[in-house]
Amino acid sequence: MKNKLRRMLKTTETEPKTSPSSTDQEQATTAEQAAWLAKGADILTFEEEWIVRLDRRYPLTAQHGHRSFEAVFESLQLPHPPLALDVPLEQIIFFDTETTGLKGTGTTIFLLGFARFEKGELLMRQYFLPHPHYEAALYHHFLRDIGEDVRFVTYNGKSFDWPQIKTRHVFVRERVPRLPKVGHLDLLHVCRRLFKGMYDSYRLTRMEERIGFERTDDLPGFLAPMHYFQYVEHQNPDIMSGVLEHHLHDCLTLVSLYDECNRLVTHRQEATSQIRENIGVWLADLGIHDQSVKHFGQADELTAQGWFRQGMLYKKLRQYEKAKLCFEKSDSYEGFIELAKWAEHIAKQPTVAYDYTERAKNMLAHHQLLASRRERLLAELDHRSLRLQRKCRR
Amino acid sequence: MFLRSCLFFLYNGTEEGSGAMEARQSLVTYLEELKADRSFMERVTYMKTMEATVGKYAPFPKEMPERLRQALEKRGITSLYRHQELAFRTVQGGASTVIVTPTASGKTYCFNLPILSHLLAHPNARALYLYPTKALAQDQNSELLELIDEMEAPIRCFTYDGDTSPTIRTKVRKAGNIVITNPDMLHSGILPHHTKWIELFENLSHIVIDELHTYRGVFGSHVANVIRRLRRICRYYGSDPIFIMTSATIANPQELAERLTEKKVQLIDDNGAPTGRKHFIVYQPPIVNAQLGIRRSATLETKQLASRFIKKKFQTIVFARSRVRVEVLLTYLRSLIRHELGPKSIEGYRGGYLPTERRDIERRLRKGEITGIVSTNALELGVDIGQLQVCIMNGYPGTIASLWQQAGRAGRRQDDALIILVASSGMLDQYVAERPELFLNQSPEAARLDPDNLIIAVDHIKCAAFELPFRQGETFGTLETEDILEYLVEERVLHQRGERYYWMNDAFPAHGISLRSSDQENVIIVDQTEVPNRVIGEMDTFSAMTLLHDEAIYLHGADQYQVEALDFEEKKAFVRAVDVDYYTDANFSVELSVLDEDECYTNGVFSVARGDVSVRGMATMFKKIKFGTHENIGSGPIHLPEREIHTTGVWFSLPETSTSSTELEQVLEGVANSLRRVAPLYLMCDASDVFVVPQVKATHTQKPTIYLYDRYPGGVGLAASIYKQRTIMLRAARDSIETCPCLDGCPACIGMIGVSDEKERTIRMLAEMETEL
Repeated sequence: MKNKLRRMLKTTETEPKTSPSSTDQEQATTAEQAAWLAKGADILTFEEEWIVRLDRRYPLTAQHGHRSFEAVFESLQLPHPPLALDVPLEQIIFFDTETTGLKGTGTTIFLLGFARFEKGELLMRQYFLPHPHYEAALYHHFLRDIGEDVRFVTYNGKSFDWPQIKTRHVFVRERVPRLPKVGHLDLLHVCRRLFKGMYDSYRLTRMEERIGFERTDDLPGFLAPMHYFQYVEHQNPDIMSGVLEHHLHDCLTLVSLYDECNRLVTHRQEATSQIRENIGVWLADLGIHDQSVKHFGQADELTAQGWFRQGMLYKKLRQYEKAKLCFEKSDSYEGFIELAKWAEHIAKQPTVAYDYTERAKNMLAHHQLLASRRERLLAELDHRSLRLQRKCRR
Repeated sequence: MFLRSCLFFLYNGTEEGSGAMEARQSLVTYLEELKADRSFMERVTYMKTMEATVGKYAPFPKEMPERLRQALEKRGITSLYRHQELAFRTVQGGASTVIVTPTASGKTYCFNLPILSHLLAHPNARALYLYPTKALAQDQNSELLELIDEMEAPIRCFTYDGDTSPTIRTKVRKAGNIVITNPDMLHSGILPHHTKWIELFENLSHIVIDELHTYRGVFGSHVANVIRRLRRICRYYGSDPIFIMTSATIANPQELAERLTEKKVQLIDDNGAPTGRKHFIVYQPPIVNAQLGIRRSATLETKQLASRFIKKKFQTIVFARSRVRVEVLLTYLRSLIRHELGPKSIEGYRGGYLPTERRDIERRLRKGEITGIVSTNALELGVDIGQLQVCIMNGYPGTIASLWQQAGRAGRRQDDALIILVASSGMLDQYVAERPELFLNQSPEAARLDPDNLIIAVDHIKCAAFELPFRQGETFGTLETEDILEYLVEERVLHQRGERYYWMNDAFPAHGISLRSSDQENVIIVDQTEVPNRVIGEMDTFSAMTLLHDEAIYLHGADQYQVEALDFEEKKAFVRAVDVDYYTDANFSVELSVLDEDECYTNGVFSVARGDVSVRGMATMFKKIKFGTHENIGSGPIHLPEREIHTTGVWFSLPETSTSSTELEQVLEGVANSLRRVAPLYLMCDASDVFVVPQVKATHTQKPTIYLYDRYPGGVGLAASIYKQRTIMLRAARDSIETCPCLDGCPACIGMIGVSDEKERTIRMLAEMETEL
């Protein structure tokens, strides 16, 4: 039968493995645990299972990138709406996982962990699953440690890490605590807003440029599963050291990156006009108008879209003259449409409004746009033109 | 699908308006006219009228909830057909069931009524419906929604497939009482994410598998494994759903249902629905070459017949056997009738058209805007296109089961219907046309599948291991897993620890496995005629080797395209519209060797065996064939890579004879070709699913040998079936050559034009084999 399998399925030649007896297995387990203990790890047990927990503590003076953790500590004391985490500091965890593959039931989370401030230090804690069988132990200890009321800071955790935890939790849900209802700040989404238009990729390692951290000899994330499969076969902790290091850096980067974002949003750091504009737009979208005005105000130069958005903001705040100036600077079809509205309804100058409308039409004709959308906009503008012509004649 | 309107009609006699009356009248009258037409009747070799039958009814079962009863009554339904009532009681009793009744007998109520009853009483319960295609799922969804609406019940029903928008997916998962999907989605979108579907799996009470007969061969073998995975996950969440299946008429519905689900299944096959009068005609094109036994082209005859009916505005469906035929007929018919009815009144329908095109055609058929439709067997399935008046089959559809499915497309409730089978010169056609009792009286073919096909089963065991770790000693359905699991451990796909096997790979196994064919990827057909280019269709890679090679003429929507380049690596074919008077036909050559012998019978001289074979296939060249005259007007080479498959086969080895090797070769070829052509009669497969290779001196046996093998890697049970039925197949092959009207052998019987007494010798050889083996 196996020969048939090999022939039909084109096997890769491998040595057949003999499965160890149970006493061998026990001895192997003891050796495996000893190797971890020698590395300063804790072995945590649960029912028949066990996992590895690695703690590292950093004084606040330690640095990750060009600032110390003390700076982050301060940032966290300065809650600011879009980045606010309204719980005591020790309930905020900077969290990341390593998995055996893409989303799906069979993908195991073999390493998860977080950084958090406690007792005047930064605690970096990793939970490692020495064998896929011991997931109950993993979730039992992890969930007990973080407690019921917790805020996660992650990178792409909203669509990857957390759903995957939910998936795997199902298998052990009868034996371990329930998952907390998490408050979640996903820094990927924050970075995409803040640094919009500045990067071709928003991978975490690219963001490290901002915090001044550079990895040396980093193990690429996609190799992590291979190392884990190796570990499962050979049970040697050294195999995992690269992955553990990589994961640790991911978590620490989250800490510094949070600080960086917070500083930018709270004006505690110099920023380019582009970033100011991005923040201004973001805050306007969130309806935080007063803060948005401030950020726009600090930008020296804005893009066409930026001027337009600032104009819309002033319009909303009923500061029409300021709005008008912004729309003029925007020099876009959208700006002219708004100017036309302003001239017609606020300034009551139909001839001026007509002029703006025509200019909007002109610009629209040369603008890259979905055909259907352009049709619709042109139809609206034609309608406006006609109405204005009538008003002018009167 | 048609039941609702059908019952509606029965109890609302008014629905049959004067229009329908007129149509019926005229079809009957027109039939009389035809009977008086000598040139027509000369070619009719068989005619039979099947009288209308009356319905058998039963009152609503007492267990049926009042709300459901009222909803049905609102539609004018006051009782059930007997088979519906029987299905209701069987399902209520907790037994899995398969219902086999013809088209338009109200099959959907057989499962909808017991399930809706259950859901009304158990608001948390869930049901899963499986349809072979998305289109059928959509149809069923709208039908269910109407009924649920009328009950004003809080039952939520959704389709879940690739088209479902991400925004409602969560809602479907958490709250859908009835989820309608297809096996492919179940395989790659639901089972691998089962933890998101806890509510469904914990409360799953019923699973519906409609169009059961489509789950045969490769596809069926895959789906049987998907169902093993489904039941495994149900067990994990503590549910054990009842299966309700419906099927077109096949010989072994109960066996098929039990193989597919690996559960005991009860059969309900006593149709209680009334049927209209049907006239069945076998039509033989005249012989144009007596020596070669060649008849006039069936396609030409079909064209003439179809245009006759379409001009009279009888809604007519024409079934053709290949995509190419569909397009050829469509071109012919459109050009003939364009001026009378306009080009939009005739449409083509086949796989490869985009879904939106197909939905539009279906809708227009239902509304009666289309008078003529030319289709492949794609319209055999329960796509709702309403009932038509005339059905013309261009050639025997290949199986008795699909003949009846196709014939079922004609027949309005209490209206006469006409079904015409136009026989082609092909041997199988002639064989069947000479013996209409074959399909009129005999049971249709049995549907085969092989869930234990190693390649398929191993693929699904991988998926299953990804979904839940295997335990040592756990069976996968009825399949022992020990060896396979160990093999996967050696391959570093699974990791064994203690009693369990864990998924230890970074791949997502379901993504690499397609249920529909051995290839996971289809070739996309890109039309470069206009800028921007657009995708006009797709095709599986195996077919693409012979239909989309460089320079091939590809027909789509009655338009001709020439393939400018086939990028086989990237799976893209670039085509450009052309206007030429020929089509292309590709040759496929194979080399074969035996890997392993499973079973053998020999009398010392003759022997037959079956086992595993390796086949290396390659498309080598193509011919250009002129429309109309079918003459060969050119050829060209095909440069495509060779493909190797391992599959199962049967081989007959014969004694070495003193005759010359050329003569021997001819006889072997004759035997091989005739066997291949009768194979579909016994195997419920397409002629292209079985391949033959004759060898004068085979490496394996050192004797003259004829190989027959299963086209699908690993085989899906065809070889075993041939081995078992070899005597009857040899007899049929001989019989078919004997009754062929040609003199010395022709392409229809022995596969080529016979030389001297070749026909005679082939018959003798088959007779010998029959007695010896």
